[in-house]
Amino acid sequence: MNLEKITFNDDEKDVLQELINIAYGNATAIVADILDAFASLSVPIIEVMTINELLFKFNNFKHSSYFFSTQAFIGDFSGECAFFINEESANNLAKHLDIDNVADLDDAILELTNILTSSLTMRLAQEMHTEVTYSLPNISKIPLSELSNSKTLQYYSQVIVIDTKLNFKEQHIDGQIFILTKDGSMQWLKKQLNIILKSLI
Amino acid sequence: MAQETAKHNFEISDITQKIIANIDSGVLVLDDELNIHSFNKWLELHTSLKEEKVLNKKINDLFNNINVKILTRKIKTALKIQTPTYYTSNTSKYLIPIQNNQIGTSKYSFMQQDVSIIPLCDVKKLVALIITNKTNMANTHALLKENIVVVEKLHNEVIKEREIIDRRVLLVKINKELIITDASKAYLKLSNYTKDQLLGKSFFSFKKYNFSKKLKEEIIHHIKTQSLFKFEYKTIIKNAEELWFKVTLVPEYDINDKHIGFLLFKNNITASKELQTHQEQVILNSRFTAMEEMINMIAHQWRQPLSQMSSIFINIKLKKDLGTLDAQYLDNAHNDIYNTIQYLSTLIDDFRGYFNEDEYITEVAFHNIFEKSKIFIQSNQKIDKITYIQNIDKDLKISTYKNKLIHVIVNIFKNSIDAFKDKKIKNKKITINATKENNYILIHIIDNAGGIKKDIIKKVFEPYFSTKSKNRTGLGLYMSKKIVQENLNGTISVTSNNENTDLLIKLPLQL
Amino acid sequence: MRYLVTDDSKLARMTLIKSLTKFVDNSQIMQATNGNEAIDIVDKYKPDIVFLDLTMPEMDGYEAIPKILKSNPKTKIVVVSADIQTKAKEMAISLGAKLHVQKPINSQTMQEILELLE
Repeated sequence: MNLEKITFNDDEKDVLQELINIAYGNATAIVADILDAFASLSVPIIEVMTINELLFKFNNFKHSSYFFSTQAFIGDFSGECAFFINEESANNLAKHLDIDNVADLDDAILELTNILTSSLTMRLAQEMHTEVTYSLPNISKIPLSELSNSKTLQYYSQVIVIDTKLNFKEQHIDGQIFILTKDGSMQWLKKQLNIILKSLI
Repeated sequence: MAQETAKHNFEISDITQKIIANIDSGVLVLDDELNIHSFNKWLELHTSLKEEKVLNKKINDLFNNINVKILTRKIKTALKIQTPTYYTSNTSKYLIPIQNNQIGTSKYSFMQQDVSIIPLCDVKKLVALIITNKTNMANTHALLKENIVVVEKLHNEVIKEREIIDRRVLLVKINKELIITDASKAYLKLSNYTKDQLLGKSFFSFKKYNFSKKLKEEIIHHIKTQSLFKFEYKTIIKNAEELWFKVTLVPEYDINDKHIGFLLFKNNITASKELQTHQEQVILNSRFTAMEEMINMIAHQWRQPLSQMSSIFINIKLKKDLGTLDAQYLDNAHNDIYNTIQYLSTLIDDFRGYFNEDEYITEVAFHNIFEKSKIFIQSNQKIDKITYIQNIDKDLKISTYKNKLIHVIVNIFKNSIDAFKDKKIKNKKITINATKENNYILIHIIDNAGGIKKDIIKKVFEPYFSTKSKNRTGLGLYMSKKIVQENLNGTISVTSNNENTDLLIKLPLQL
Repeated sequence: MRYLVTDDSKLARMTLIKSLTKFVDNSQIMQATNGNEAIDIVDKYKPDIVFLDLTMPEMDGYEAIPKILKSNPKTKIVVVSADIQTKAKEMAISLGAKLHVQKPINSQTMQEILELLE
């Protein structure tokens, strides 16, 4: 485990932000198409933080009832995507998709997570000239109260948190996506961002 | 060359087909209209449907539990985003209904399934569905969930219990080194200390506890022997208030029965201590009053014999001066004086007995008790012109604290005498009936002083309750009840009509 | 001809400028990082073509399009965005943009854009 804190300078952050923007634009377009709705895009917030800081951030979600699902992605760039959607938004999603039972709603949230995660990370990987795959069992709904006990979170010492909002204004559906990457991936990412930067100068 | 490649391709597809046929998962190919294009051996075996029978049929026609809308959405999504979409067993349970045949306890009658929908061909809109059996996992998961619910319930109960203890019970924990390790909220609130001020401090060095040397030694002894110990102590809390605590020292053990310290359960007994002190004061006061009355009575009782003796002495002097004093007269005078002194001495003994605390249980004839009781009210008897009527069997005997019983009867007599004072009643009567009933003696003391009003009859045994003149303490009946119940193991009750008041004392014949 | 590249991301501007300089001289290209700056530059220098991002701080692309056109109706606006939702495209066009192109733009796409706008 590399305990030295990896930091990103402004240029690196800008590149990452822009790549996320592109990938996220792609993901949103797919979700929007499937949901037949229009999402307003926002500028992603990128932060490097320790697991404790992250859990503290997640803690804010505990104030209201939230669904939390995660999906892992594997490759040169590997990590985990976490998706938060509050109960109100989830219910609106159900209404929008004509879902009338809890199991189907859970399924729809997981599906939404899957679409967002895979299209977001796949496009991001593509922009960085690599590939990622996804494994099925890693998509799950975790109760927030058990979050701090999550074994997967303990694999990380520090994480890049890319915080983007999914916001379907008209349907009143909004959620928050966190892309969490592991230590080794952060080194790889930093290298890759600099390759992209150099190619432009 | 071309032939070789073709052969190679054939081999690969042959291998792939063999794998697909034998893999421990269901594999089927669907288009976006849910038509079946492939159906592997695993599916054939589990559904008892042959591939050739299902090809080109819609999967939802074969299995009508399938939600067409959701499956179509997932297939279209997979084709669109070109990555797999999923059903997970923990939300969807299963896609294709397959009855569980395994012997053993399963929570599910149908196989729980994870399903991956993998995009195959965007043009032909084909996807592969890979179905894996997750029943065991789901079973474990369900069992775990059930247990979690049980554990959580227990946990919540424990937490609730602990909160109640924390809020209600005065508890201080100390470790083996007698350092305070915890204190309940209730204790902190009462003592006005913060946790920081108490924790880490030595139990004994905490000077506010103010233990006497003897108590401290006793506590140390019980701490050393790890034995339960109860004690009381007085302490001064932060705002200089004085508090009494009753403490139970209980050794504390961890789950491995290892001794880890002590729990001190405290009981705030300040209020009852104050009440006790108050009651002691009340009793003392009543005894003072009674004593004052006694002294008055002694004075009264002594006056006549003293003047008798005085006149004897005057006569002796007179006879001596006149020279008529003879031996016979002196002898008589001596006898008279001796008898009078004996009478005075008995009187003193009787009065002293009345106050004697260290009394023994003695067997006495009950009429004797009545006679003795009358001595204490003789002075009133003459002035008030009250007739005492007794219906007491001469052989009726009782084993009890004699003086205490006299005290009770005197109190009741006085109460009746006082009742007469306020009213003009001819033929004032106090009747005392005593009868034996099983192992009890029933004593009725009845006066005809006009009775007690209904609304106040319940209160006559309360302290300071008095309907009579202001200089009375109002403690007579209260004290009587206390003595009867606490010392004589009996009961006392009152009934009244508008003429008579009947006080009934029921006492065991043998105390 | 004058060109204005508007994007809050330096990378996005650099990527775009890199493909643009294959066809025009660097001296013809100006840069802005949000809608407000873009309008100021349009007011002063009246660029012929404005490349405009949609998601930006302070003033986003949707707000900037009519203001740019008000300042200089002759300006041709090319929206270059990560937002490829059909509705996003329609909105940009209905506000007055000539084209909506998905980020990032390579030289080939740039050539097609310039040819279309001629």
